[in-house]
Amino acid sequence: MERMYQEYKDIAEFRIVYISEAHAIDDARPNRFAELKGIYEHKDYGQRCSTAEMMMLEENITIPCIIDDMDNNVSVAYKALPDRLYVVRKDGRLAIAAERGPRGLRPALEETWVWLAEYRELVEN
Amino acid sequence: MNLNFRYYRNFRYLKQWHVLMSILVGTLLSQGCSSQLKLDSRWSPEQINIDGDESDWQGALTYVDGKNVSIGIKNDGEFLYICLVSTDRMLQRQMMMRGFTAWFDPDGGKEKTFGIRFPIGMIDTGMMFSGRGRDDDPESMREDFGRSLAELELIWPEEERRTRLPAANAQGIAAAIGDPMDKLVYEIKVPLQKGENLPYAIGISDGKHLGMGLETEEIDREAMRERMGRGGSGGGGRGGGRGGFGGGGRGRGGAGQRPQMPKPFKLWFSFQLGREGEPISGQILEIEKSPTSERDLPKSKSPGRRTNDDAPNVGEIAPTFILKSLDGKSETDLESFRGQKPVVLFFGSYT
Repeated sequence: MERMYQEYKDIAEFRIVYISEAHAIDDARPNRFAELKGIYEHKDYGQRCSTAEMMMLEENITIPCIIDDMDNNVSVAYKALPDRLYVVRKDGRLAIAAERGPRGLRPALEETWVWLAEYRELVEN
Repeated sequence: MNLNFRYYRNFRYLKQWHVLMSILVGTLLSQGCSSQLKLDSRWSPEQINIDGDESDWQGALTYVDGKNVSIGIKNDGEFLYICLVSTDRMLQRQMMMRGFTAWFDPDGGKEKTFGIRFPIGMIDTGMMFSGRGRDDDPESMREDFGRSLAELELIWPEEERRTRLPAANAQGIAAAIGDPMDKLVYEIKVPLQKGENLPYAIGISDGKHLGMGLETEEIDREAMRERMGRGGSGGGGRGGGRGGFGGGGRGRGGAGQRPQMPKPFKLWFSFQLGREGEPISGQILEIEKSPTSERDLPKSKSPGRRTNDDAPNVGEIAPTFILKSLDGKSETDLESFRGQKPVVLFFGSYT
């Protein structure tokens, strides 16, 4: 993602939309990573921001990060949990809508690489 | 002179591209238009090392606007040397997977009289379909990748004749690709005239006009499907990993994904070969540009391919939102980008 951002940030906007934790320690399905890092489901907006900040720093992500509100309205609108990728065209319609979760993310990233390359070709020709 | 192949640092992209190709489909539109810029073939008093290194081309490369490549052309009395440099990863991937052909027309036109295909392409060499499970084995992928650069193919379309030779300076012809960091450097050398130990040549002498084309191969989808042995796209997939943003989640494949294929790279130009002792004069480089079709944006992927949740789908208006940035100092209003730029949204969390 970061590499994609660096390569195409001149022609497209990128945002990480930080939503509720998918596998926090106190979640029904915690994972080992959450246990290792001590990540609990966010109790408030500040805690969500703190976890997001930890991720951005530890993973060296420079993509602009925006934080979903605690009512999770945006996450729900996009059916985004646990993770999901979308590409919004200039006209506001969706060009790419990934399947939900890690299974959908990987092929959608492939698609996005191709889409952005084509888009660059169009805007630069 | 020897083939100096440096393994791509961005090997991961190739692996991803392998996946992309193996779940092939896509629709390509093409409409041509052209523009011109000045280029020349410089007389080179010294032979150029065909080693995938651009150091021989200092000051001799011309950027081709709209193609994201720089091209250098030199010749001496015996050989023509071509160098193409690009930072376009998509072009790199296309070249490695589909193959890349340099066409020559000694009459200065666009007839494909004689061609040198290099790389031959991992699709046509069958490396993508050998079923060795190389996705799990970077070393075997590296080996395949190296082998795909070991040979080149000479093509005479009119005679329907093809010959494969070692890429490392076989009988006067040489080709190499290097990759210092993330830059593509492609070099070829080809004899102008046949001669002793030079059985293959363009058939042109210095000072004459030469037509040249550089292009990636079109995908033969039917052949791909046959080779894949499963009648089309798709493929299984492994989910798993951490699933957050931190770099886990190595799942791949995903049933029914039908990514769009990039358009083939095509560039045709003509120039006058340099002649010893004569000053360089700018020649016309004619460029066939890639499509700038009626589309405002690339075609959407096949809609309705997702599973059974009722998330927003391809072609639908993206739900609007206004959210604060992590530092709380700014807001992102999705609607503010409308008419300005596309937006890539990664939803997720650390876990």
